[in-house]
Amino acid sequence: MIWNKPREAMDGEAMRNLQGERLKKTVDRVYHNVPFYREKMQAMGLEPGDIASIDDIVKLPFTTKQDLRDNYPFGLAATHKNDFVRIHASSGTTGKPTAVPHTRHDLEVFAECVCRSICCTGGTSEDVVQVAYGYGLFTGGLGLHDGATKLGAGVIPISGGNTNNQLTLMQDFGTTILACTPSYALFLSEALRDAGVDTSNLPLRIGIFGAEPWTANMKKEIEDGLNIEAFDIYGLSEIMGPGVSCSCPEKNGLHVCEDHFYPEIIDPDTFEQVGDGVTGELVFTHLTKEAMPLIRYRTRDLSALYHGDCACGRSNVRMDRVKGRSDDMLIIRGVNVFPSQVESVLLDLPEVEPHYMIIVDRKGTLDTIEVQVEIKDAAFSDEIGEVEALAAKIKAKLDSSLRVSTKVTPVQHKTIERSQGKARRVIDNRKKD
Amino acid sequence: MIVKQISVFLENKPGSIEELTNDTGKAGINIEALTIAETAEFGIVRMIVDDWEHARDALDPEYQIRVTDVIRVAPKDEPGKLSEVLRKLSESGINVSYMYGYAKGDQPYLIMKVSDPEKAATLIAQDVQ
Repeated sequence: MIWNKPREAMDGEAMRNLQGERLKKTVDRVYHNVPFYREKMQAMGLEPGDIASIDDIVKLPFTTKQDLRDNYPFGLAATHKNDFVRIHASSGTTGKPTAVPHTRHDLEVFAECVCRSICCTGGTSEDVVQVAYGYGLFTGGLGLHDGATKLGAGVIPISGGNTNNQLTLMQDFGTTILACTPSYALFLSEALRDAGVDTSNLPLRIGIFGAEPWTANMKKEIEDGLNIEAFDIYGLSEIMGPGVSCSCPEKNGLHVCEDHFYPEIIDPDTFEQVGDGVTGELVFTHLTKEAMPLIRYRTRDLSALYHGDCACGRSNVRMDRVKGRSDDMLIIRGVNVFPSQVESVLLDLPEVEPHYMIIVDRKGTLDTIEVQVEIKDAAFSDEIGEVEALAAKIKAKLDSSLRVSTKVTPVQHKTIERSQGKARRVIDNRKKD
Repeated sequence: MIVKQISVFLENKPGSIEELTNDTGKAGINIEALTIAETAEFGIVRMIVDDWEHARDALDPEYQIRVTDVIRVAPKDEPGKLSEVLRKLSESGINVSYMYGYAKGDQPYLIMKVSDPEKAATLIAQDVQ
């Protein structure tokens, strides 16, 4: 079911007109209510009247996470504090936290978008949704809670943790939709197996997972382990939380609620917009947010956009599942290269371990990129020719995916550092100019 | 006869062979024969050892290894004997990928990687020990 067909299946031109109208209003509001944006726009010689359509968005300044920190807690708010009905915040792992206030209308939009997302995965008012995201300052728990409530589904507000209780209620209450982080889903799947529960006897059918990156292999493992179909839900607290976009059964990307959040993909180096299908940094502009509308917020997440009608019936623009962070980007001979691209090529090759090291250097004026890989025992040969052919095959796959010529070096077993959370994957020996 | 050869992947850098032989020594593995095929970046060390299963188990956790069936030939130490052995193989269409020799006392041995070890072993049974 499509929850809001007039919006989610809106004609492309009509959507752009709606976005343009909403952008004009938003820019007008921030210009008159948020000194930060007024000063930025004035410095660029911009006035609200310069924004006539959604295409004019490229004239507007960007907003970064640092801007949110610098203006903590409510420096970027466009409404009076009395209008806030809820304030979410992200923990400040690298210094000050960031605060994200919501008005009543903002929370209604939040619930609407999550409701659309649940429907996008095939959920209905007859489902029982176990919300195993954390409840609290983190937007996951309350976000899914409000969205599922709006849909009219039965909500189990269990929050994260307490695995035994999760398993008991899942069976006793007949959970049909599990919403949590993918790593917790995997953990629950293993706990069910250890408890001897046959998941094919459970009514569980859909998983709505997000808030952290996960691989295709992990997705398959969760789907097999829980006997469900798994969907990606994407969001970030600065923009809203989960429900900014969500995948549909066509599995060709995540539909963005683009009548509320306008997505752009930019080249993180030049800040220019890139075309459909090109990977770059995802940027969102609030179109309806009241409490703290952000203009061209740089998410640092890497994705690509795809316009056009989807076989699921929606026409809202689709984004790729997030491929990594733009902070990790390398520029090799003018081409943007992301370590995550190397990782996804290697994950598809059964002959190598998923561990790798990228070494970037400059020989004269030419950038070089070397990828060290570990060949698995089963693919290792006593004949040089076969090992060289395997290295050549890996190089060919990497070159075509990265669009730069790489050097592939097989290295000894276990010489590459194993990932303990954040492993160092790149050594850049180029001198900084 | 068919024997098991242990092949080990090593990076082509100072100390890597020393490290491998240090590990085999500590594990009590006696190397009968050893040869290296190398490129600029890596090498493949091929070894015939006294107890291949023990060697495999001892080296497997630390190295990429491969156990391969090869044939061991013990021709008479006279001119033309090697060519006799090889002719039998070539007449039967068996390909030799690589070979290397060693000696124990006065007896020379040859290790050959061939396309069909079982057939090769039968063909040259009288030359094989």
